[in-house]
Order: sequence, then structure tokens, then C-alpha cells
Amino acid sequence: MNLGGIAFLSWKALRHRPVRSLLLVGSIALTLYFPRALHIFISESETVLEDRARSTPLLVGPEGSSIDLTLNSLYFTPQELPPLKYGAYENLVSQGFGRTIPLHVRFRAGGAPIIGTTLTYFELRGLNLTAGRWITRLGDCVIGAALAERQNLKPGDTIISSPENIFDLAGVYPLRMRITGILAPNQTADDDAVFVDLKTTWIIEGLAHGHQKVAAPGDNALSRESDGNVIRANSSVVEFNEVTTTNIQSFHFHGDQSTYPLSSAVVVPKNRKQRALALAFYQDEEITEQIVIPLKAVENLASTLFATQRLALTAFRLLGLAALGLALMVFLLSFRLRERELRTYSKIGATRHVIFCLQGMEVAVIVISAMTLSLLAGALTRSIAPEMLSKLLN
Amino acid sequence: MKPLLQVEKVEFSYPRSPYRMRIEEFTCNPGQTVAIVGPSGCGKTTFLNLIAGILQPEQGRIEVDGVELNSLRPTRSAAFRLSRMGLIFQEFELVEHLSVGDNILLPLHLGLRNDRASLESTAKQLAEKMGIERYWSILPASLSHGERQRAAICRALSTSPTLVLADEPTGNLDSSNKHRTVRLMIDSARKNQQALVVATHDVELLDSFDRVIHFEDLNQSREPTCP
Ligand SMILES: Nc1ncnc2c1ncn2[C@@H]1O[C@H](COP(=O)(O)OP(=O)(O)OP(=O)(O)O)[C@@H](O)[C@H]1O
Ligand SMILES: [Mg+2]
Repeated sequence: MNLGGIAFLSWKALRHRPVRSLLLVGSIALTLYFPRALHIFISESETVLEDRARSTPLLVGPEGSSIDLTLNSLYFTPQELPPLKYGAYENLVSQGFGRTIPLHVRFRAGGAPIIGTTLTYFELRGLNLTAGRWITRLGDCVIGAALAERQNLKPGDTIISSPENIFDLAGVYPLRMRITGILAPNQTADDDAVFVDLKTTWIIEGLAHGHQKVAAPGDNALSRESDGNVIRANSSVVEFNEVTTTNIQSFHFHGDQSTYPLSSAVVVPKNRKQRALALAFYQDEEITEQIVIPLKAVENLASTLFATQRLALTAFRLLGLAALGLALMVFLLSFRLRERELRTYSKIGATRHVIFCLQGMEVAVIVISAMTLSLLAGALTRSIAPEMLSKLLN
Repeated sequence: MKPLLQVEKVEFSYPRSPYRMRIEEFTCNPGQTVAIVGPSGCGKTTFLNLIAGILQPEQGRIEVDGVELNSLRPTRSAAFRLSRMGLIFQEFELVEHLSVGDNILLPLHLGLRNDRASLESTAKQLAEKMGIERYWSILPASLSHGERQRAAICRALSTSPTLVLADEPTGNLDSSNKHRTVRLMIDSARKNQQALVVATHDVELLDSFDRVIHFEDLNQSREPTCP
């Protein structure tokens, strides 16, 4: 038997009907790809979710959905829960359960969440700067690598917090923040976030004021364009919207600081005992805050995802079976159409074996091409899955 | 001299067809050329297919070059056909998506173990003699009927077979091409000691053959076979 000749004849036959061949390759490749992509996506999201949850031992936050609290604190999804009072946070710190990191995740700037926290947060996440320096005062921020690249921002630039909604100008004033540094990417939600000192978020909340002579028209920060939204505010309404060296001294906070809002607090116990104590502390009925083990919350979420995946996989498999059935029919029909050609081969003297190999080779070429294509697409999916996931979570 | 082709007491019928064939004896020597004539539907194509081993007789014996074809397994008889016989079919049987050249080299692609280079050069010489060498790399669809037929003849002769079976090989050729083509086949048979059996309607050509047989004389079936 001449395998080269058989390969040649198969190739010619496939080339002769390129549309049919490509359709077959495409439909088989998609059939193989869909369940694979779903599986990659789910398992990848599980790893991504769990990795971050694992490095966040405990979370303290207001009562409510533990998943919402976890997603807000770990992936900076919009806040769904009431705030955690600063007083409760101070109480937590005084208990000495380990390192405690406050988080305020409510506002956005440049399409990314603003995270009010302390420098300890960067230690917890192992974040370093690739450019610039750390925050030194109110109104400073460091930003994630993805955000910096997307908005083409560098140290020394400024970024303005967006108003919560456009009609809310009288309540919360956008703040122009000074970018002091850019963080190294770590392929998590940190890459697309603006980090400020906790107190800076309170300025955006409208809890702190500085005093400043109203600037000359045109010099007003609020008439700048931010995110394509032109924010124009009457300078007589606007108080402070930017912290500058001249006005920093005059900033002062109003009201009872213990009622100031946070979103949650990360607790990193030093040992098992501290951890046990922290967990026990929040068992108390008197305490209105809850403590959450992020890994548990994420595992709960993952098990829901898996149940959905199983359902989707079954659906995909059934669809795939139908598609493969159709492909088989296309093959059989096309061999039918080519009966005359195949009969010619056998009349000239091709053995049944050769005819069978000819058909097998064609099927094999199509199936192997489809498999290669779906493997390539799978690899591509795997490589872009983490990025897509972080997009989906935000 | 022992005949190259021997057909003895062969009986054949198609399923669900009243047609019957019974051939007492037919032989052909190496280098001998035989024309089989007869009206349409009398069984010339069927007879050639029986000799080629494409059809199996119900009875009798068909021997080619000492090999009893009808006792071979289908795979062996196909391999024998590929290597030892040159077949020219009534409907040419060219593959539409292969170039004329690849159609001519088809036996190689299908597993013939001849030397590729020498077969290719023989084929190209033949194509040149038949005036179709300039169509070597184009698809047969753009050829005239006569040119396609010459390509089919070229394919049959390129493998230097010992037995050439040709079914109406000149049916679509004009008078001068007819004579040229038949001359070529006969010369090839004489030169290479091939046995040549040609089924034809064409009385114009019969003079060129060593023997001319009326198929009605050959077929002894009592059924009224020929219309
Ligand atoms: N595959 C088949 N099944 C049934 N009957 C067939 C088949 N092929 C041919 N026949 C019948 O066998 C008889 C002989 O046919 P064959 O093709 O051998 O004639 P022929 O002499 O070659 O005719 P022509 O000169 O027209 O080519 C015809 O009656 C035909 O109807
Ligand atoms: Mg015929």
C-alpha cells in the first residue's frame, strides 16, 4: 500500500471541496472546544478565587451575605452591604487578633475602584512599585499596572474620582488625586484599582473639609474632563476638591469619627490561637459584625459554579453528540456523492483496503485538524482566562 | 504458444436482469490484437469486466498469464489488475478533481509498485504521442471528449500492462485521431507482447486487428440476448 499516494488523493479530495472541509473542521472543533473552554474557565476561576481567598485569612464586616462581603473585599465588586463603622474597627484592633487592615471599597476613579486602606495592605498582597513612590499624604494614590496602562497614567498625573451619580454633585464631591506610584502587576483585582489612604476616601465621602479661596474660573479642577464626562461645578458650591500643599494643613474631619464608614477589615492572625479567638469573638450575640473565612465563602460559591457547570456540560455534550452525528452524516453523504470516483479507483485495481484507507485518511485529516484547532483555542482560553475573569468580576 | 488470456465455459448473469452470457471458449495470445464487435447491449462491456476481474462469473474459468483470476480473493485480483492490466473504460472514468497528469499516474497513487520516475517518463512520452501533454497539469473538465478519451488511454498504457482491455476507445474521436489512436495501441501491443482486446462499434477500424469476433457468435446463451 502506498500511504503517500493515499494521502495525496485524500488531500486533493479535501481541497476540491474547501467549504465542506472547513465547515466540518470548524464544527467539530467548536463541538470539542465548548465543553473544554467551560471546564478551563470554571477551574481557572476556582484557582483565581481560591488563591486570593487563601491569602486573606479572615474578614470582618457588617452582617449580611458572606459572599458579597468576600467579593467586595477581595475583588472590589460594588459594595452591596451597609458600612462597617470605624468604631467597630477600632474595637477589633484593640482585641489584638493579629495584623488588621481596613478596607474602604465604594468609590471609583477612571473606571477602577478606589481602595481606601493602609500601607499594610501592600505588604499583605506583596505589592511593589514599578515606578514612583508610596503614598505620603492625603489625596495621594498609587494605581494598579493595568489601570496605568489602560489610561496611560504615570506618577505625577492626576485622576479624579467619579461622582456616585451625576445628580449627586451637591452630596459627594469628586476629588482630584495625585498619582505617586504605579504598582507591579500581580494578575489580580489589584492591577485595576486606585489605592489611597483610608482618610482620603473619607474626604470623598464628604466627611473632611479644607478651606481654600475659591479659585479663579478656569483654574477650577472640576471643569476638567474626566473619563469623558465633563464635570462643571459652580465654584461657589464647590468646597475642596483637591489636596494641595497650601491647603493640607486646613483639612479637618467633622463629627464622630467612630461612625465613619469602612467596607471591611482583613485580619491576619499570627497563630492558631489568635485565629480561634477572633472566630470566637464574633460568635457573641451582642456583636453586630460578622467574621468570614474567605476561603469557605469562595468554596461555597465554587460549588454553586460546579453545579451550573455540570448542567452546562451535559447540555454541551448532547449538542456535541448531535453535531458529531451531523458530521458523520456529511461524511457518509459525501462518500455517497463520490461513489463514482471510488468505484473508478477500485475498477483500476485499488483494493478494498486502499479505498477504506482513503476514506479513513480524509476523516482523520478533518478530525485531527479540528482537534488541533480546539487544543489551540483551549490553550488560548487558558492564557486569557484570568484576565477575562478579573474583567467579569469588576 | 500458450495463450495469454483464456476464457473457458464462463457463465454470467446480472441479478434482476434477463440478460445471460455463456462463453464456451475465448483466447488471446501475447502480441495479438482482437476486436469484439456487436450491437449495443449485447454484452461487450460485461465481457471485458469479467476478464478484468471486476465482475465474477457464476461458472467457468478465466486465466490471465497463467493466473486463474476467478479463484483469487478480491484483494489479490484487484492487485493483479492494477499491475498487469490496462483498462480503458467506455466512460473514461477520469477523476474530476485530479489533473490530467495525476489521472494518468493514478495507478501509482493507488499502490502500483513500479518505479515512479520511469513510469512518469513513459506516461509523458505517451501523452506527447497522443497530443495531450500540454494538458498535463489541468483538470479534465476543461478537455474535449476526445482529449479525455486519449488521457484515459494514456493511463491504461503507461503501466506497461500485459493485457489491455479497451471499451470503445475511439468512440469520440474524429477519423484521423481514431486511426492514430488505434495504431498506437496496436503498435504498443506488438512491441511489448501485450494482448489487446478492444470492444468497438466502429467497422472502419476492423482491418487493423489480427482477429475480429462478433460477440453474438461468442455468446452461446440460448436466451435472446441481442436486440
Ligand atoms: N449493472 C447491471 N445490472 C443489470 N443489468 C446490466 C448491468 N449492466 C449491463 N446490464 C445489462 O447487460 C446487458 C449487456 O450490457 P453491456 O453494457 O455489456 O452491453 P454493451 O455491449 O457494452 O453495450 P454498448 O455497446 O451500448 O456499450 C444489457 O442488456 C444491459 O441492460
Ligand atoms: Mg459497452
